[in-house]
Amino acid sequence: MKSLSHFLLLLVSLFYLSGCGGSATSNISNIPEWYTNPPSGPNYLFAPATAVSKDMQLAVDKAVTGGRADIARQTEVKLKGLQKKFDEEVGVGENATLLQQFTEATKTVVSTVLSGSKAEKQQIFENGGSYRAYVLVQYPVGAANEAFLNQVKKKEELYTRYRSSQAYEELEKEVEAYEKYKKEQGMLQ
Amino acid sequence: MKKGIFPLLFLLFFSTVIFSQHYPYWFIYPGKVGCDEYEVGYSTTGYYEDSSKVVAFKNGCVNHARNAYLKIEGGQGFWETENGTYWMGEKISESFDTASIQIYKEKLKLVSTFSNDEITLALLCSSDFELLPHQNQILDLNDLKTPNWLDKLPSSTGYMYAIAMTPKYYYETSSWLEAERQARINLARQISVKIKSEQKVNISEGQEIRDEEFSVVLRNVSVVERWIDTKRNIFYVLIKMPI
Repeated sequence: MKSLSHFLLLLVSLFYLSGCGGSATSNISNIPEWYTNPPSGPNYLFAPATAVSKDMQLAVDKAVTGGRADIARQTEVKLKGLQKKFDEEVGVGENATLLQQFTEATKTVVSTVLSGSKAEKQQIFENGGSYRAYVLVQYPVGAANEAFLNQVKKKEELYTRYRSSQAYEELEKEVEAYEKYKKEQGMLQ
Repeated sequence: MKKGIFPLLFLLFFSTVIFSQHYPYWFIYPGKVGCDEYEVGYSTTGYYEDSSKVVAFKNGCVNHARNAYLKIEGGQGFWETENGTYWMGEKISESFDTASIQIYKEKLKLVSTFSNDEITLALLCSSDFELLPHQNQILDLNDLKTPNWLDKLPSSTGYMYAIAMTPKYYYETSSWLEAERQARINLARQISVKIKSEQKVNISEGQEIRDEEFSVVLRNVSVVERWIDTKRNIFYVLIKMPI
């Protein structure tokens, strides 16, 4: 009887310990093919990225932003790249070269707006209580980007027409009157 | 004392083995229900079942008002070093017309409800809509195949899709609402995001400060599918928006 209870206790302990590892763990063979060999095409830019976090969504967020920054650098270099290379030489004689190596820095600054970028593919693996996310960020360029922007623009045009309509004007007047009333009643700070 | 240990061991063992999640078809696949304008409302199941349903209906109206027209803005920062990427925080705000909640309370009809010990769900449609028998069926998530959209976003002309996932919070309602919020943020970032980055590399190390900002209006967002990874307790949501 005693040995049976010990056996059951062992079984439960093993079960819990096995659960701690998670179902899918990350190792080199799990790396998605599109991460090591990203696709390419005339209408899209692709950037694979990976990141780790204890929170699954944050792991994806980190990776996607990394991928977007990568794409931003690709477009910026093509369009209006700002890449600075700072060389600094300190010291004299033989030491100068060595110090130059240590102080040589590449600085890449990017600031751009991306419209239509998305995590086209993603895979997440659990590894010792953390999640590793692999993402493939896709950004439309050329015809694909034009198609995307046209779709957004159509919607904006519709909204602009609505804003210039009589109904909207009436709404604005009513809202204005209501805001004035709220101010008079001390409802607004 | 010895006798008491067996029920305890069995309870411990089966509490994790028998973990199944049952939900109605319309909750897992709301996009396949066929109603033009729909929403699902959530509520924590309380003592009185009817009260929970009323709260779920009201939550559905709030969700619908938010999904109909939402301004979402904010940003987050990251610091990438040789050791990995550090999250430097975020500030994201959502604003929508709360006056329209009342309109939706009158416009939307309660089509179906579902309750278990944790959560009460309400399906709301814009018209008198009747579910087909299979749409009212209760599904066991362990019997369903893992959806493809977890790995690859769906694509269809005229729509943008986004997914998000959250862990299990104390209240299941919070998990679903947070998953939907994260998905909306992901959708906003797809539409337009400003990326600022400064990357510095020297011979001994490289690092990058990254920041992203967005200010976007989302219109007519709807949840297409939901999914739970029952082994890891992760809640997934797939949403779409017409463009």
